[in-house]
Amino acid sequence: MLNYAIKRINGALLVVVAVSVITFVMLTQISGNAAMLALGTDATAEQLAQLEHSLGLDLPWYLQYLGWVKNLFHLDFGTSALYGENVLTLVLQRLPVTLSLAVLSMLMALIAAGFLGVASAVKKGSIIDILSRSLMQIGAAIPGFWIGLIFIIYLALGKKWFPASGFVAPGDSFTGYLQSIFLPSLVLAIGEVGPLLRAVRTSMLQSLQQDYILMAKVQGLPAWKIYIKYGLRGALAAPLNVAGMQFAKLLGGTTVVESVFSLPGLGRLVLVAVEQRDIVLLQGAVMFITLAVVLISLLADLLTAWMNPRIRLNEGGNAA
Amino acid sequence: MKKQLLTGVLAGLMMLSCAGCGASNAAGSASAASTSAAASGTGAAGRDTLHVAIMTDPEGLDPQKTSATSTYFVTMNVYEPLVMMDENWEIQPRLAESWQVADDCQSVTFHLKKGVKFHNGREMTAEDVKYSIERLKEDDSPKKKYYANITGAEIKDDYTITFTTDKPDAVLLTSFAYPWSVIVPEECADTLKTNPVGTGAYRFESWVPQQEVKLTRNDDYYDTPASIENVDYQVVPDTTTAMVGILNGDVDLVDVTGSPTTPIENNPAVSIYEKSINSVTVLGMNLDNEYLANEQVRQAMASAIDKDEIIQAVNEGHGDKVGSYLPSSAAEYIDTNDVLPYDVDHAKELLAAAGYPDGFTIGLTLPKSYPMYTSIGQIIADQLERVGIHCEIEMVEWADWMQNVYTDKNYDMTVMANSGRLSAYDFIARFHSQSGDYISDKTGEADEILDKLKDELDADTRTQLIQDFQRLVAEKVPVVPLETQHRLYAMSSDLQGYVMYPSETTEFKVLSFS
Repeated sequence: MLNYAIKRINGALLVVVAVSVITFVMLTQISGNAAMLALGTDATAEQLAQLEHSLGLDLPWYLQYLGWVKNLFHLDFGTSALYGENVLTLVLQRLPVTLSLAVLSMLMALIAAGFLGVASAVKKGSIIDILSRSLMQIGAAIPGFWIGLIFIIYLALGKKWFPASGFVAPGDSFTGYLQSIFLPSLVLAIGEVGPLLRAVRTSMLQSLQQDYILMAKVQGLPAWKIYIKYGLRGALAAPLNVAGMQFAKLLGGTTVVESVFSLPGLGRLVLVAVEQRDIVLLQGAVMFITLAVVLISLLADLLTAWMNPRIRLNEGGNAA
Repeated sequence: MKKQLLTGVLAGLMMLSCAGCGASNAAGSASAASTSAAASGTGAAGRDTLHVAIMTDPEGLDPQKTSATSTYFVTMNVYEPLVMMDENWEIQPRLAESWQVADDCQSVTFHLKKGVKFHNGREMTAEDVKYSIERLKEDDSPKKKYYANITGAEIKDDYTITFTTDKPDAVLLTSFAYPWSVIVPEECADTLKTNPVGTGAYRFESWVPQQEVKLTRNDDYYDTPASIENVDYQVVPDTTTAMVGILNGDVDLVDVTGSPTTPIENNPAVSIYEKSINSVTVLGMNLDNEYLANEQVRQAMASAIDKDEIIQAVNEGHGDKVGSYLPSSAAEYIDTNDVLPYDVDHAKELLAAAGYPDGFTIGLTLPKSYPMYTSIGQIIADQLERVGIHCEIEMVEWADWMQNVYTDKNYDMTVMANSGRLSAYDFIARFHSQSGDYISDKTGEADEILDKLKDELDADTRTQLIQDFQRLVAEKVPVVPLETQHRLYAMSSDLQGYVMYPSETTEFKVLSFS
């Protein structure tokens, strides 16, 4: 188990370094740079060259990258060229929003998918099965920004149940906080519920065909015990894997929903960093997202390995 | 009534949201929209907070180190310049109570107001004025080139300072009236980007990037203090969301330029302020291109473009058609729309005469961060197609536009508006063949007028030259001038006193709730 853990941690570190290099190279190689964007359409070519020089933007990318790494060793994530604010502060400011959205929307999606998935597997072909499968299609087909705007118009403007936009910190008002993240989480959950539902339904169907389910039925156990205690437990691995991946994706920010609901999340931070060629800000945000994703998948792998001896004996058959 | 509104909003849904997502954070249009998250008490009585929705985040709060109008929209309330150009294009005192421009136009002496304090409590003196204007000449000041001519600053006493220039400048005073020519305290200079300290009627309270900026009234203000106690700017990137905010009463003020205003028109709770802005939207052309180097081809394009259709389709009619490169609101403006009016047959004749009876294919680079310019570009492409000119449209990010079009001049045509200057010369100087600008007139035809204008001190002769320039652009078409857009602000109907200055800024200290 220890060997396996070390191996996976090494792999995770490699991913972090690779991502940081790739992000850096990409942003320095595409056209436009921070100096150009800061000066706008009034500056002369000489002035631009001078500013590029004083910001170090005229250096080759690997020297700029080394400079960034050097600062990182001093735990200095740098200062955003765009905002003039410490990158760590900017990323941390976005955490409450992004985490809240990820957790609440995952909760909503898991509850809906769990309930509907089990029901549609148990009553295969029934009306509830058909409805759930339609829901999967609809959730996947409707664009998030559209359903978000529909919600805003009917539930925020029409009914006034929710604010149309903005984020309220839980410290300021807890009800306000829940209200401000409910609609965007619901929009995200509608998009996530499809794949989850499919995973629950499929593995539930498989699990229900196992001999021990037949055995349980023969023994005359109550239905909830057969389906939930024995059926669902055997069917959990695949949906949890899907949920883990969805959660990791949500931590990377949800740009469109954040824009529609005016939430200051990580997605918009990354977007603006790319648009404004703010390398240091992008690096900081991407590093954070990468670390979160890598940590989650690392934990998931270690957990699976701990639960399933076959994997840890193979020493890493189940990669991230 | 409400049903109709909802239908209206719904109708514009798809378009608006696409526009909203596209237009995130380019260095430009301070489009505003808003909504405050916490449902704000919007009872008419005792309102003490102005909720302003802004679409684009400020790019730091140091107006001397950015070219973003989204920054000026906030900082104009925190910092102040020495003088200010009012809505009638007249210079008004701010931090200077009086001034004298020398007869040779090579120096200006300012007498500062006494007892003006920065928000950190220290009194503002001539030292600060000297420091601030010199700061505009640093490398990271986007407006550096406009201050190159100001070469000396002599402090007579704490409240008197004289700036001298290398060459005479007939409009020297306007250099001190911009949202970036504000006076800042040297001891705070390094942190102004996140913690602005000025002399204005509002002091900075807090800023969370991409979320909100909060200002509060400066009770030590040297002049009449602001009427409204707090200003909350909320960043709302999506226009539809912002419109909902103003209908909901969560938002008091939002820039809705270029958005369909149907959902908020004729609503008693909302009033609309409309004013033509100090800029010209153009079809910019690279005269190094073999087709565009041909004057008849450019004239053919000008004749083939129906500007009325563009203004109607993109601005819902909120724009003034222009035939040349000067904003319709400028004092020296002359109407040149009849020089090359919309005439498809004439355009075809000109093309044939130029040797391209069957037209040709040409590139059109459009900045997708500005939905308005991409819409205009698409309409132009369609109109040019009718005379046989096929545009290959390339949609680029703002950073790509800055690199390829502005810096490398690696483009054929583009659509852009250059924001206004308080002096016509500064506005049109881009056309000099040696300016190195992306729309520099490389034929050199404009050079003679521009060179004369630069040194001319007589007001009448200057006006004459600026009008000659307009006729030249209308005839020779180094760019196809399209329109001067109108800025549209939607605001709650109890908000009084809104005025937009030629520098496209507004001082919130004059606003009040009725």
